[in-house]
Amino acid sequence: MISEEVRRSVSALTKEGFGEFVIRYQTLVYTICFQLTRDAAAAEDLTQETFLSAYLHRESCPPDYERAWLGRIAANKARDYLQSAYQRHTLLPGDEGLPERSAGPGLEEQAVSRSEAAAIRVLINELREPYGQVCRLHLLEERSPEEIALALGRPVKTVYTQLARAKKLLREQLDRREQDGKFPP
Amino acid sequence: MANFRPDGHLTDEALQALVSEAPMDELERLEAAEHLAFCDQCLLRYTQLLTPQTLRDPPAELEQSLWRRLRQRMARLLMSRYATAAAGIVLVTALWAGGIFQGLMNSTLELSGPADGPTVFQEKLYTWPEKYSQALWEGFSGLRDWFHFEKDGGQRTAPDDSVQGGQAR
Repeated sequence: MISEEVRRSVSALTKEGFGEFVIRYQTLVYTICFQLTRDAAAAEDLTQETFLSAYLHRESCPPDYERAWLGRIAANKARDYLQSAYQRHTLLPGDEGLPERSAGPGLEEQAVSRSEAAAIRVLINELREPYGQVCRLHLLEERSPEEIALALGRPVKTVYTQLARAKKLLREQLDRREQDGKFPP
Repeated sequence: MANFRPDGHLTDEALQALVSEAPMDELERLEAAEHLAFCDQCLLRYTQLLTPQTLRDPPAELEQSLWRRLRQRMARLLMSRYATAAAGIVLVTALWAGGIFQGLMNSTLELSGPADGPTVFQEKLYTWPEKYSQALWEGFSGLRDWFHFEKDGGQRTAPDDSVQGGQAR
């Protein structure tokens, strides 16, 4: 339970009040940023960004919720940093539909045999979380990313990102099975 | 190690791996960060594991550089607001000087004037740009005269090219 003085300091808008707030929570925020990024320099930078955001949006901090509120901001900053780094060295496909075979049109365009469709269905059902649910809802039940976001309680942007990665994972699994001679069954 | 449960939440093992800084690849940490960014339940579970023994001390100079960055950001915000306001004033002044408002008033009256002539409100609306222009011009002229007064060492002299109402005499 945070002390009344520190809680007031968040909305006090004084340098000294916010300074106490920083001293009290900087270790927590730095730890979260470091544990997610595993990079000391990035963690320091993200910690500053977290407190900057907290200062600029201090009115939106719910009372007695400062620790989790700061943790949420820190997780957001770390996510943005990691996404940027991951995309720099990983090609993420766009919305290209189902993964296609090495030559020829994509699976969504061509007539697939019942056994091939069943094999893909199995792959989708076996897909690990957090991609399994979004993939099943989108590819098998044909729900839109917005409907999926509502159903699963995730941000729409996160759903789009997870769908793109899920399709990449499916493609890799299909290619692996083709090379092993397991696909088509 | 499975980082997510079938219900989509982070497993206890995943949270423990984060806290103990066990090896996790970039994608695993990205997935965890994405989940913690929106899931209140897992965020609470994670922060509850962050006891004083598991916390990491930040660099000593972090607070100083934070204040420096905060001051820079606030200065940038303030400048952008003033710049926006200044741009608005310049635009309105330019339009005013170009006679846009007067032209708009004329067009409005032509389109909506009643058969028996403009109303009192319309007359006032029609004349206010001209009145304010006149007042503004007289104000500038006064300033100009004042500068002449100062330049002539306090001796009042009539300017050679006095201007009134935009018309040179």
